Amino acid sequence: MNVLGLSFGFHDSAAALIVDGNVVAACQQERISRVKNDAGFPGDAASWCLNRAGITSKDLSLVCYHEVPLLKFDRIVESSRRVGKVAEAEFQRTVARWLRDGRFAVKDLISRRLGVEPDRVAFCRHHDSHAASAFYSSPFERATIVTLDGVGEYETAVIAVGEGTSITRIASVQLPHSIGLFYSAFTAFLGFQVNEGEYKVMGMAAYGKPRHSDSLTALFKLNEDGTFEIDQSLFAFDGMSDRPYTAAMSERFGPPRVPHAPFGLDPRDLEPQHRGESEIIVEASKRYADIAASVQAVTEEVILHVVRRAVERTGCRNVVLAGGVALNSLANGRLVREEGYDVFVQPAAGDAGCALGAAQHHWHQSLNGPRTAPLVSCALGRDFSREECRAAVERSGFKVELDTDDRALYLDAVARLLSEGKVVGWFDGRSEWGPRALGQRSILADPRRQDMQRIVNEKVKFREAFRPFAPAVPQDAIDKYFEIYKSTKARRPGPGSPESFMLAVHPVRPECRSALPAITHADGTARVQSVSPDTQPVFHMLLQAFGRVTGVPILVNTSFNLNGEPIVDTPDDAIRTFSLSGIDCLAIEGIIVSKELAGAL
Amino acid sequence: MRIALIAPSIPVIEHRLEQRMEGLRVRFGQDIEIRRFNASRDAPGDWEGFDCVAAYWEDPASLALPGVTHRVSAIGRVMPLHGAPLAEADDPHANTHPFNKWAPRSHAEIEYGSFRYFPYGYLFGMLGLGPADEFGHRISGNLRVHRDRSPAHKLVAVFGGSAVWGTTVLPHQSFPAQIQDLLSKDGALRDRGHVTTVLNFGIPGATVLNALQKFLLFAVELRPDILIAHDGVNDMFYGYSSDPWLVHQHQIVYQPSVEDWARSLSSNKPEPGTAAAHSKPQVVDLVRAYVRRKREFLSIAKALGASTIAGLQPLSESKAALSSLEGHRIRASWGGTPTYQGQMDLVNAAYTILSREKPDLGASVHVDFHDEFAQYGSGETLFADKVHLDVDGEKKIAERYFPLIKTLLLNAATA
Repeated sequence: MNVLGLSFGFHDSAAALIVDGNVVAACQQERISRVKNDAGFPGDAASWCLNRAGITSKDLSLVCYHEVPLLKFDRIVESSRRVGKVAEAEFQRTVARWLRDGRFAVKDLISRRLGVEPDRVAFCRHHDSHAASAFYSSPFERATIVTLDGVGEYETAVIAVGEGTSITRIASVQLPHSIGLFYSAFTAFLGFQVNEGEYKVMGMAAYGKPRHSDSLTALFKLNEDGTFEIDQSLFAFDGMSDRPYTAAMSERFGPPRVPHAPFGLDPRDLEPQHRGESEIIVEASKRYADIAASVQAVTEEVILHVVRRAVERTGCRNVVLAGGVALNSLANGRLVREEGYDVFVQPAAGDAGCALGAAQHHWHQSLNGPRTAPLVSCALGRDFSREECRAAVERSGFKVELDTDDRALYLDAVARLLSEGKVVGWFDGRSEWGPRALGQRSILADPRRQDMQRIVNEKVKFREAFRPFAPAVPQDAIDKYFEIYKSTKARRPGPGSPESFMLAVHPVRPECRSALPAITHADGTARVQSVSPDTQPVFHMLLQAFGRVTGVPILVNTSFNLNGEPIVDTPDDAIRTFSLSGIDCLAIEGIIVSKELAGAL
Repeated sequence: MRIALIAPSIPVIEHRLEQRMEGLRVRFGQDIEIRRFNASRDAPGDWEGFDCVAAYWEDPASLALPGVTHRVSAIGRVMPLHGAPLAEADDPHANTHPFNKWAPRSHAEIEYGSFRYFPYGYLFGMLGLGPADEFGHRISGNLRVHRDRSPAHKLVAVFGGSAVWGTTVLPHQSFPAQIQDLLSKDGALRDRGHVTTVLNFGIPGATVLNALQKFLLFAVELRPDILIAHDGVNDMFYGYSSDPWLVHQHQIVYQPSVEDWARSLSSNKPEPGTAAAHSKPQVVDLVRAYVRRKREFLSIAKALGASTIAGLQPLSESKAALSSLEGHRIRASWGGTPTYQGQMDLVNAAYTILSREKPDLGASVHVDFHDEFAQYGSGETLFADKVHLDVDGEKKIAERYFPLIKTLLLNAATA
């Protein structure tokens, strides 16, 4: 039986297809449409999923949507009513948007667009989608389930227990109490885009001191049952204002950061044109970094509170997480390291992952399907043959330096380029499901070089200097470089672990930090990716090849995209991003491409 | 005519009072009398009775004061207040032909300038920055008078986009106008009896293909003695969103508005999510398209008797370092937002290839301003935004082209 899950309408639209319970294809629409955070109907993603499985929409048993639209609209009406007259204009805009996008008739929309009968379209509550994606993808027969995000229909967090094919809710938190929106409010206050810039706050946090954590903690009431409440005086979570915080926020923390304002804690780190105002910039940067550090610290405590209480209530130390807040890799690292839980985070933990969860929910609940193999690899997106890649390279006009079927020769050549300080665009196999580049569509570099973080930030990613880069390391070498476990009984970071999906931050061993400057963040940590030879054989071999050349089998692994663009998906996308950035070479399915031209202009 | 100019009470990046007053002179005539007021010190009664009351473009508080009728920007752009009707003098060619008459005139289109449908390329409407002809060129008078000029009357035609038109300076400050001044004042040329006219055929947004269209429409019959093609940015900037098949197969680059016009006429509108926006062209294809079209343009001009100068226009990235003021200006303008990051990444990548490969374009003279501007550092303020120059920057361009033009004219006379 084939079940297609869809998420769209807010941000990160996606499609995921399960066949007899197994995930065979999953893809975010933005990867195809090239529109960052594309919220539109994921028609391209859905078509590709069906093509991948060799089926048509007629072969679908169910199409599942990730939320209950009218329940969500009910919440919007309720928020608008509570805010009163000032929200009228925003409410009218929302209604107009819903009418335009067909969101009052989602069943009809899906039915029409995919050519399925309306009775084969099913809804799934948003947090049920998150919970299903986390539990049914996990390797656990029994697990404590925690979902945390901005808001679904009304809910912002759910605690549940999963057993076999059933999920039983234990508690939930309702709007306006939302840890996701709390984080997003400060994301906006710190000058970043909500639903996109949250990880920038996490990166900035390492540069600050959590001076405000006491006063922010005081806003929370942490209940014994694992739920929480938030004092709303600083926030406007109703969605009816142009910003998610109130004037009281500025009164307490000073003026909000202007988007793209220069940031630096050392005048020497500032660009030349900012040096004349370095004192002002450094002072402001410290203030913002302290706010970020405080927000991060409080968020971690709230997450740990919810998970600890949930584990107490279920008595199960297998913990599965989903929802956008589950992408908070600092908190995930603490759950693994400090609490010693066996943690599974669904890699597309944000709303895109709800496409998968909605399909899995109905596979088990409506179609009574059995549990299937756990999700151990993110390689669920599109792939392209060597011939397709070669044709794209030839079209590009760039020179092919090597084109070989000899894998060892190819990987040795890439490793040598990396060891020489070259930044390499790496394209291998099926693209990743979820926001992280995990060695399918990655930019790779040498982590031993002091200047590599600056080079990749400025010349390749064109992004803020305070954002760290992650290391990829073979699974069997991870303990040598990173401090992950208190207990030797803990599950190793193999396929399916948070580390395998680059979703947990851990300390770099102190003795290794100076040798790995490009991936060691300001606070001595790294968002480490563990690479398994079973699920990522080619990438694992590349790390080993690099280790043979340099003695360190670790690479900087950052997403293959330009700042503000979706991660590349096709060979043409990869070549284009390669050509527009400071990436020195492109390694694509056995072909190495340089920036030289193949012929005269 | 008496004009009141109100300085703001808020801090502004640049007062540029002289430039604002120059803008008022361009708009209202050289014989105006301008009196300055201050929004925090003076009261509305003080400017009662003035023929025109202007306030700083970027100061909403002053613009809201009683009696204020016009806005004047730091580059000297003068417009009526937001939403106020345009006077005939603000848009004198509004009805000269159907493509001006039916041009879009929404608030944004008036405010920021706009592409206008025209069957042979497009027209661009940019109001408030001094006179332009009925096709948007910064050219005054009837072009036909140059067709039957005497042999001693030389014609220099300059083609390109906004960098030639001069969207961040007043008409007489654009580099073609400054070249005109330098040529007029040059003793050697005067002694030889040369009279030289420089015509600015620049139009904001123009690619080389658009410049070629302009040349065919308006300049062929004039047989210019010297043609300058000063360009580079638009072919990449707009190439970013052009159809990759058209670029790769036919070296055709165009502005998104051209595609919008086709789409708005179509009855075959795909639903969102099924037909994703087309993919984007590769940078080498765009460089090849630019080189091909520029070679064609220059060879056609040469075949019609012109000496040709190929200029690669500079970018702010061309400089070794930006001045603090340039940094402020870029952050405060379109280049300071991520909206056009993709386009500018593409421009930079293409410039890297062009500077490295230095293709022969077949011109009499090549000038690579991208290379040459590397000599300027943080001590010089030349850019008004990421790609457009201020008056001093325009002067650098004019001073670089002037001796080349002079040499070509003198050599031609000798031959």
